[in-house]
Amino acid sequence: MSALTTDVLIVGAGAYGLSCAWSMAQRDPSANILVLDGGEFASGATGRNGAGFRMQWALEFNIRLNQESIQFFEEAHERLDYPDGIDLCQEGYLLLAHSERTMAALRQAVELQHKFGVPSEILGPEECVRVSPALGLEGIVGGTYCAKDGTASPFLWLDALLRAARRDGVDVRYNTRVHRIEPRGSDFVAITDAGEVAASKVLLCTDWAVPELLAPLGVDLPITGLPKEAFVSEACDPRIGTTVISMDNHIAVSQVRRGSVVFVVTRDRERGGDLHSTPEFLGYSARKILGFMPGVSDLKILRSWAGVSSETPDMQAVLGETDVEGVYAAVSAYKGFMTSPAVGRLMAELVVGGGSNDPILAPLHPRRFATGALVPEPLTNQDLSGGVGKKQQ
Amino acid sequence: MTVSVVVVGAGPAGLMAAREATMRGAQVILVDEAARPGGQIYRQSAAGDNAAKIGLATERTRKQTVLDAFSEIAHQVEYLPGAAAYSLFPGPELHVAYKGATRELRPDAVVLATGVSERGIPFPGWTLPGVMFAGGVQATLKAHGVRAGDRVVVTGAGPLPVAVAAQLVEAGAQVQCVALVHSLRAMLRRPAALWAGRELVREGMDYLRILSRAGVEVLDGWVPVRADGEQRIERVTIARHSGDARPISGTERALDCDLLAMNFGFVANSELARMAGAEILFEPHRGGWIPRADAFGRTAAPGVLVAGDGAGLRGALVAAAEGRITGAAAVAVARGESMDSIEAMLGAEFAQRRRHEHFQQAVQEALRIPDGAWSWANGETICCRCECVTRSRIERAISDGHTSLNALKRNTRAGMGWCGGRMCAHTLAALTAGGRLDTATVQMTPRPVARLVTFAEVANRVDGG
Repeated sequence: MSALTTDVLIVGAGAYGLSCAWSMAQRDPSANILVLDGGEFASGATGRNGAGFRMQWALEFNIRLNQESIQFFEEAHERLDYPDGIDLCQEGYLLLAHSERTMAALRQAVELQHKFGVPSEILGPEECVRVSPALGLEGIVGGTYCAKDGTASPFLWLDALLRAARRDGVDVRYNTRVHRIEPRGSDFVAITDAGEVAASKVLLCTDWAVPELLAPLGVDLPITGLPKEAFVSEACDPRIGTTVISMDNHIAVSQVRRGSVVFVVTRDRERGGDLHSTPEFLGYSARKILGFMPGVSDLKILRSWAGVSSETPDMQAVLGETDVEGVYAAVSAYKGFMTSPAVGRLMAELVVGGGSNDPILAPLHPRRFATGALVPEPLTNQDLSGGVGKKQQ
Repeated sequence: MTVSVVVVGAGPAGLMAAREATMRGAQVILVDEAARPGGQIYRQSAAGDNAAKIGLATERTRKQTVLDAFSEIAHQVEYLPGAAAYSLFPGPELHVAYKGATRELRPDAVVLATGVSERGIPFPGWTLPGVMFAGGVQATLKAHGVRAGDRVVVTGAGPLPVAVAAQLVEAGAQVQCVALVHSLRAMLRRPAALWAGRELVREGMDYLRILSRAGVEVLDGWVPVRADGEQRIERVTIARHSGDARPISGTERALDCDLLAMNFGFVANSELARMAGAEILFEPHRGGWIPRADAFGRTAAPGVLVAGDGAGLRGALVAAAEGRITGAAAVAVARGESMDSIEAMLGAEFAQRRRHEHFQQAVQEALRIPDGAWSWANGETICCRCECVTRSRIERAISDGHTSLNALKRNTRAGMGWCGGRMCAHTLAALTAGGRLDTATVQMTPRPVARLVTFAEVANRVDGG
């Protein structure tokens, strides 16, 4: 069997993998780009995520990553020549505070957001309920709202990227797991289900599973998988009105364009790659959601599923070249779908564009864990180390 | 030691399983969707008066026998009507929505007697209002004494279209014709099997006689071509086929109607078994994706047993016999006892099951739909009704390389709607395998919930059982 040879091997065909592949093909049409995925279309984290995007963050690089990405989502049907669109729905995000501590962090974030032109605003409790009528007023301290935030279909997004990337000559193969990567001279050989693949450069986009491939190369990144569960309701009247994130409950609620409502719930669970729905999940989630959103009590639940998102010590993405020259990593830290357009552009600059001076990248470099230069995000709803999420079953 | 058994489904298999398990000393909970016991085949009038006498006298006797057998022990069973068994986890742990709350049941054994749904085969216009499944038409007759249309065309395969057409005639409908894929005479190819089911053959003849007396034409070797109408069905076009279910051009007949009742086979309701981790086989002519079970109904999932049509389509008589066998086996499983004594004690049930399984070989001759039926749909025809996904969209995904049912679902949304893929999975399987059903096709990953439940029902918990 003749071995495959490529300029760039991308491992993982999720939002990061495919966006990077398409961006690289755009940037350097002469580059050979091969994407291998161990699963099927959308079988990883992208196909299991909550479909939301927002520019309401509390650090410059996250605001910028998402502003750029949202602009791309708005133009995706044209830029990726996907005429039916990706079910884009910009009905805003309401970040909800049920504690003074959270409200203080939200207020501070809005100040920074305004510096970058994010049209976010601070809302009082009654205004929050006006924006999302299903909410219960009780316990709400306040919230912030940005009308440009919203949702799109992760499935359509992946399909649009896949078709565009293939049109540009990218070779995307599913059901082809990469088992190991070995240095060979100045290049690399990947041991895969399709035999050996020789590549000049390797970009790892398998999110929480990236350490599996890096460890044998002597690179140790503190990235783990945080199992999450989600469920979706049948389509209903627009009673949610926007995407609501209850920061103190670690729950995101989005009414997507088709009218159904997606609920993503984060609990403090054993880390790993478990993709099974758990028996206690639906009951736990329904009680928790009804606690702050009583208006959904008659809503019918259609389907639930499990997923895994990546978790890093500062809950920020990992973007850049690893200690092994020629091996790059792009790990999302629970923002893969929403930041994938900008991350594609950045990684294309890094991998096939001769490098990038974009200041977004410096704080997200993989080496920050070794140097201790962590950049914790004040506005994550994923921080289970303190607050309401702790010790909940 | 008192053991607990939960039975899901109150058709003949479930009722007899509940009875047998109760008589063997188990504490039994019987969970069912309907308001009254009977399932689809022995569905009772919702009003409780059973005034609407649907079906032949012999059928009603058979129904009464099963209902009476359950009634005798019903006071010892905790019966949950109008309940939705929506999740089954290994354990077994069953979640049931009942009276606005969830009962979390952790019995020693679960018997799944969940029956079948009807299988749709898409053709142009099949999603128009007024195109209904024959079993659905029958259910409204049995439960409410309501006939779903006045001018009716019935199409499909096997005995059900004939029975439903005759029941509609008796309910006062004008049945234009019954268009069958195969002649019922195809069953004559299996004379020994026919003999095994002679009482059912006699009923079939009775139904044909009703149709003949009413002057209803029964056409053999015909298939639907399309249904047309502005707001709802006004006309159906049928055509002859040449043995492969593909319509022969030039033989079309257009028939005015306000109801098209169709039955093109069945789909086992196997979501709960799949969720619990039972091993699943794909046998399209026995109900599609069905759990593999041994002679006692035991699946690969510990404590999870299956009985009746949901474990492979074989009809109500097999279901009743198998219900008793599986009910007894569930108690033995719960007590950790061997199955040795069951076969000896339930010899008559094993014999009845064998006899009627033999008869099913004859039924299969008339029921089996040739693979050409999967080409009835054109590119614009909706194949996934919940998410409105057309055949051409599915074929685009297939040509992009998304050939498993899971990948197709994620790429096209087909199978993501409220029916959980029950309605479209066979169509997707056929399209991925080049227009035929391939027994190697793996069903989509089952996702809780198997039935729609409200937030309130999920949030309110009652621990028990």
